[in-house]
Parts: sequence; C-alpha cells; structure tokens
Amino acid sequence: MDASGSSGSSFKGGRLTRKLRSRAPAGGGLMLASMLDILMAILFFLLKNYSSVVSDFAIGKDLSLPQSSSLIIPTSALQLVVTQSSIMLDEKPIAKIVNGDVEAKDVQGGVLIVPLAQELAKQKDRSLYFEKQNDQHSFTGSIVLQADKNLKFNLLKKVLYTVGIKDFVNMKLAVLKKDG
Amino acid sequence: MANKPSARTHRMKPLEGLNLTPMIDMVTNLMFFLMMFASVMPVVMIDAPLPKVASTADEIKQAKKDENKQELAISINAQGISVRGVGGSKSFPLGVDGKYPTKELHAYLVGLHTKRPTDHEITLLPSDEVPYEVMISVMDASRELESGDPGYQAVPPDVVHKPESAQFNRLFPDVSIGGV
Repeated sequence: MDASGSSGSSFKGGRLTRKLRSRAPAGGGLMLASMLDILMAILFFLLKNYSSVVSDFAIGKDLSLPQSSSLIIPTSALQLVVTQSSIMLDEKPIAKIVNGDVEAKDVQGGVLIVPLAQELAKQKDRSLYFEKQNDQHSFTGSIVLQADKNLKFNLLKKVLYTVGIKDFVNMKLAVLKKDG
Repeated sequence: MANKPSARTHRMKPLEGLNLTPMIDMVTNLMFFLMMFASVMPVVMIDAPLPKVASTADEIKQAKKDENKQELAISINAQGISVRGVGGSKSFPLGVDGKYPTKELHAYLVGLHTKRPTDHEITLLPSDEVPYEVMISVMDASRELESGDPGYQAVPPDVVHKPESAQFNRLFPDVSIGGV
C-alpha cells in the first residue's frame, strides 16, 4: 500500500493482461470510412444525374455545337451532322465542305446537295418499306441536325432545302444546354 | 527433433470492425462506369419544323392561305436584326462590340407579345453570312419570357429546369426558318 491508501497496482492487471496489451495493434491500419463517405457522396450525385442524361446521343466529331436555353430532351432520329469539313448522315460521309461551302460538283440548281438528297431518298424508302411491313413503324420525317456553330447560313440553307425537299420536315436542332 | 508449434501461439486474431475494402472496390468501379457513360455536356433540342413542299391541290390552297397570314418575321444580317410584323418594323443594329443585340430584341418581342398574346409563331430570315450560333441565340431570345418581364409566371419548383416548364411563359416558341 502506498501513502494514499490505494493498492497502486490494482489496474495494471496481471502478467497475462500486460502481455496481451503489449500485442494490441498500435495504428489499426488505414481509416477507410471517411474515404468511403466521399465515394458514396460522388456515387449518389452521379446516379441522380444519370437518369436525365441520354447516353445514346453521340455528338459528332470535330463539331462545336452552339449553346441554347432550350430544355427539350433529345429523341432518337436520323442524325445529320454538318461540320466545318464534311456532311455526314448517320456517321456516313456524304459530301465534303471546302471554304465553308459544299463543292460545286455536288450542288444542283444552286441549293440542292445531290449526294445528300440521294442518301435521304434511300433512308425514306427504307422507312416506307418498314412501314408497309410493320403497321407500328411509320415514316415521321424526323431528323436531328447537328451543325457547327460557326457555319454560315449560306451552307445551312442548302442543307435545309435538301432535307425539306425529301420530306424530312420534322427537324430538330441539337444544341448544348446552356449553364444556369 | 523439432517440436510441433503450439496451436495456441498461431491462433488467428479476430477481425476488428468491418472490412471495407470490397465495398470501396465496388463503389470505385461503379463510379468509373457512370463517369465514362455520363455525358459531360448535356445535349438538348430545338424544334424547327421545315415547311413541307406543297404537292396536292389542298396543300397548295393551304400554302396560299398561309402566305396571306401576317406573321412576325425576324431578319438577321451583317448590320444587325430587324423585326417586321403587323405592328410595323424595328431595327436593332450591332452593338459596339460587334455582338448581336439579342437583349434589346427580347425586350421588343415582349412588348409585341403583350399586344398579341395568342401569337406564338415567328419566321427567321437570316442572310447568307449569318453564323448558325447567331440564329440559335435569336431563337433563344424569342422563345420565352424571362424573370422580370411583364406577364412572367413563376414556374412551380417541381418543373423548374425541366421540359415541362416550356408550357409556362411562352413568347414566340414556334420558329420556322425562312429564306430556304
């Protein structure tokens, strides 16, 4: 007994307890709980936003779409892509663009882009064929235009005229959603 | 001869707490796929139906009737924007920075809309040198009323920034591209 009256060694335990205590791990490894919290927060954020994003809408290469405040959700339709260098229909190159305009050999009557008109006619025939085979599938004349923001109306009016003359009148313009 | 080690000295220690490593693996994989497939730049659409080429007698009759209908037309050229309609015409020259005055155009269209609230159609008449980006910005300026405009209705919180919000605050959302 010491001066205070307590035994002094009563909390130190016996020899076995001291041995076990000395074997206990000091650090306990990495603390992963906080990292998991961060990952879960990012995961929930991604999952929440994922539902509003249509993943099957592919933006054409070498293309800078204009920004717009529109909120209409993209629909699947025939994709007409007009870049600074070419015109593509469903990723198939149709005509080349030189100095901001279609090559003269591809234009008829000043406004009709002949290769585009031929390809659109094929697409329409294919749709009409499927319409005959299947009542549920009908030709709606839907087309989505992805055009570079720096293109001039001089070129676009030829594209629009050709598309309109081939009965693809249900046109939608693909744009990037403006922030805010 | 060596003695067999005591089983007591090789007893497995019980695990302390949950093992989070497989869960972190799973969350990291999920995040990777979500980030890979989620579009960073969300794409939206603008409806821009093209005029159908009249082929039948009824369609030609209807087209003539539409020609006589007085519509609001917005001309865009290198000098600026001009609006022509029943109420006369108004021009908006380019700003000193060379930008198109879409804010002034929007304010003028809001004034026209208060006089003719049932009209929602405009025709866009760009000249050849006008970039596509400018056409889109003019469409944005004429689509809907903005906060602070006379007649602006507060959009319910459950439809804010959703396509359903387009039914509120309509200005001139039905755009057709002319000059084609």
